[in-house]
Formats: sequence, C-alpha cells, structure tokens
Amino acid sequence: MSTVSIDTLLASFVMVCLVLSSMIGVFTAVQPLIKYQPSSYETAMNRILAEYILIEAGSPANWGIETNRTLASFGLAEENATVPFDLDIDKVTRLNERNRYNLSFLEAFTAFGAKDKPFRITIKPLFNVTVTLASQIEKPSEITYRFNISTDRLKMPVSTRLQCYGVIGNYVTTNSSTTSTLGDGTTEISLPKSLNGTALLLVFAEMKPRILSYAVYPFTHNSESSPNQVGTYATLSPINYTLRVDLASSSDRVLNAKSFTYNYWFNLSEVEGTSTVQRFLIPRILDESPMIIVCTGLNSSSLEYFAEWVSYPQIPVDFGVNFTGRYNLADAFSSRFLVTINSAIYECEILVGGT
Amino acid sequence: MLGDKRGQIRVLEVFFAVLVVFSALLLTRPIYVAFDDYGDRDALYSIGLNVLVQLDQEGELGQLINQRNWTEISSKLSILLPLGVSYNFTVYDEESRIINSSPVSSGNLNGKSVVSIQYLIVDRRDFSFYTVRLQLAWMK
Repeated sequence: MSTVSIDTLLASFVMVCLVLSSMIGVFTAVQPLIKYQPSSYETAMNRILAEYILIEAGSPANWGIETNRTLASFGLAEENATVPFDLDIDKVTRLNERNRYNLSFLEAFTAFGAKDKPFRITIKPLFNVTVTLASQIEKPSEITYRFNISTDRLKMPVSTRLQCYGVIGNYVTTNSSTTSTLGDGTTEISLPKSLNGTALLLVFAEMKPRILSYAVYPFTHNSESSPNQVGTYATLSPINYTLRVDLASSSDRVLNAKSFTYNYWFNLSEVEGTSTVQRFLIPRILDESPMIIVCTGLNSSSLEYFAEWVSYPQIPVDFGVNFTGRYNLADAFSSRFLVTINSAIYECEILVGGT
Repeated sequence: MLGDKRGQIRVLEVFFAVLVVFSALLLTRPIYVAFDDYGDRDALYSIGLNVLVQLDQEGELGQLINQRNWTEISSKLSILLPLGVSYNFTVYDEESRIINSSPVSSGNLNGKSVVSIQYLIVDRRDFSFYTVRLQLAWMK
C-alpha cells in the first residue's frame, strides 16, 4: 500500500471520528435548548391562564351569588373590577368545600374551557397566626385566660398589632396587644363564671394596613367537657352577605350570631328560621379586614354554650387537583400572586398542570 | 509518507475542522444559558408588577412617595415580595431626577440577573407624576 493511501485512510478515519463526535457534541449541547423552547412556551401560557382566572369575572359575571345558574365561564375577579387581581368575596367563598354553595372542581374545570389544563387554587393570608393557651387564673366571679400568640411568615417571625375578642354565648370581651419583632406576644381575656361551655378567642393580626391574618382558638370555659369541634352543631355558609346556618339538630338552635373584623363587631339579625335552617344578614363593613362570623347557642341536653364560626371570605381555600401527591405524575407550573378581597391583601398560588 | 505533501495537507485539514467544530460547540453554550435564565426573569417580572399594582391600589404608593416615606415603602415591599428576592426601588420625577434620598433596597443585586419593572404613579391629591423603577433579582 502506498503512503498516499495510508495518509488518505488515516485522514478519512479521523474525519469520520470527528463527524461522529461532533454529532454527539452538538446533540448534547442543543438538546436542552430544543427541549426548553416548547417548555418556555408552555410556562408562559400557564402563567397567562393563571392570570386569566384572577382577572376575568367569568360568566355569569355575578356567579358568586347566582348559585342556581350554571357556570359558563370560570373567573374569580369581581364584576366591574377597576383594578387587576381584585377578587369577588362570594366567588372565593364558593371555592371552599365546607360552604353549602360550593362549586365542584368539575364545574369549574368544565367552565374554564381548557380540557388539558387542570388547576389548583390556594388563597391564604400572607402570614400565619398561632395561638396557645398558656394559663388560667380563677377569680370569684370570672376566669382570666392568658394566651401566647405567635406570628410568622414562612417560619420567619413578623411584628404585628393584635385585636383579640373573647366570645361565649352572647358575651364579648375585647383586648388589644402586639407581637414583637420575634413574632411573640400575649393577650389576656376574662370570662364570667356565670357562663359555661365552648368559648372562642378570635385574634386578628395586622402587619400593615390591608395586610392581615387571623386565628380562632376554641377552649372550654367553666366546664369539664372539651370544646366542640367545628360543624358539630351547625354548618355555616356565608354567601351574598347572608349567613345560612344548617342545624345538625332542631333542638340546638343558634341564639346569637355576631360578625367580627379587626376594628368592629356587630350582632347579626335573623331574617329567616325553620326547624333546620336559620338565616342571618351580614352587614357590609368597609373595614379592610377579613370577617369572622360566630354563632352560639345552648346545647339542649347539657345546657352549655356551643360555638360555631366561619370566616368571610371563607379562606384559606385549597381548590382543585392535587399535583403534589405521591401518585401524581403530571407536570405543573406554579404562579404566585397578591390578590385583594374586600380591600385586604391575600396570597394566591395557582398551579396549572398538564402533560 | 513524509515526502508526500497531499497526505500532510489532509491531516492539517482534519485538525482545522476539529478546531472549527469544537469552537462552534463552545459558542452555543452561552445561548443555552441565556434561554435557561429567561423563565426566571419572566416570573420575576410578573411578581414585581403584581406587587406594584397591589401597592398602588387606592393611591397608597403615590401618597407614600409624596410623603417621602421610604421606610414604609421598603417595609411593604419586604412583606409583599416573596422571600429570596432582592430588590432596589427608585423613584424618578417628571424630569427623570431620582427623588428617593436614601436607597430603598434589600439584599445585593451585584452579579445577579436583574429584572427592571417601570411603573407610572400619579399622586391623586396634587396630581404629581412619578416614574417608579423596581429592580428584582433572585438571591442565589
């Protein structure tokens, strides 16, 4: 074999190796880019869909209060909202499964109109409030309870102003306090010994105007039994500024209904009452605060007070498909928004999935 | 073999081709990194605009700027922005002069991929006009 042939053979061999290695190299370098391009488009589309849910009012535009009409288009924004991300109190409330007028996910998903885009909506306050009972001191005519209150945002302590209400039966006591920069605070309330049963401590915490959170702590007052669980005596469903009370038993009726916000509290007037259902009017308070509605009554057998409560808007809300479960394989894109409901700011996370 | 120039030229051609192909591969890397970064920046822009819209509701941000209350603006931004986001907030007047006397910022933006959001504010009391620039970056 001549030297020219050997040179040509060697050069051809190196060239073939080069072509193969360059193909492998180019594929390795470009493959993530090729993969990213459709995913970038999908990410942008999922974010637009999430924004659509918060910016559009849906159809009918007042579907929050039109509980009997079929939902044609899904959106949570207030009808005729002038600012983006201003949500309707009743539409958000209907996402809560505890509300009697709740919207099923199938209805919302069908009305959303994107058949390959399941979603999940979470709405909650921007920070957490935790309450624990620290001590109680018995006096001749009353019992004084001392509570430890902590406020945090994603485990980071936050300083807040507190407005606390103690409620049992028709009795209400109020107290103001603060949590320090370490997120710790205390409050004391005194309840008369003439009353007994389940009492509630309502805590509203305000970080800044419009940025609030709340906690409700049930405890036993002047009684041996434990506080009643939510829903034992009645199911509370606020909608269209009317509270519907579905009684578990016709003998245990709600005697007092009150609504509380950070700055105010009011008695609710009963507008309708049957053996199993009672209805109360909720005042339209302009306070930039969530509202907590408390219903109390007497247990017909033990003659102790029971207490049921609900927030309005009925949050926290966790609505839709679970993408993070053990057996869920669908990809999901998460968007975080700040939304306004009745002038108060909440955090909303929307997960849009598919594939 | 040494006496034949045609073989040597082919070997040189091969090495030249190797050089060209691998330098091309090196050049594609920054493009990939830039695309990878795009999603983060888009999300950050969306978060920043959402925060400014919320702050501006009921004219609150315009009032705070008019009062030159930079501490309150900084405090609100720290609450409303997610944890892990650094920011720098600058306010310009109608003649594009910076009016915040002290920096309104949290964290360090140096060496990070910074997203800038421009927003127009009008104080409803005296109709003062401001341009706000919010710069955001993920703390990585």
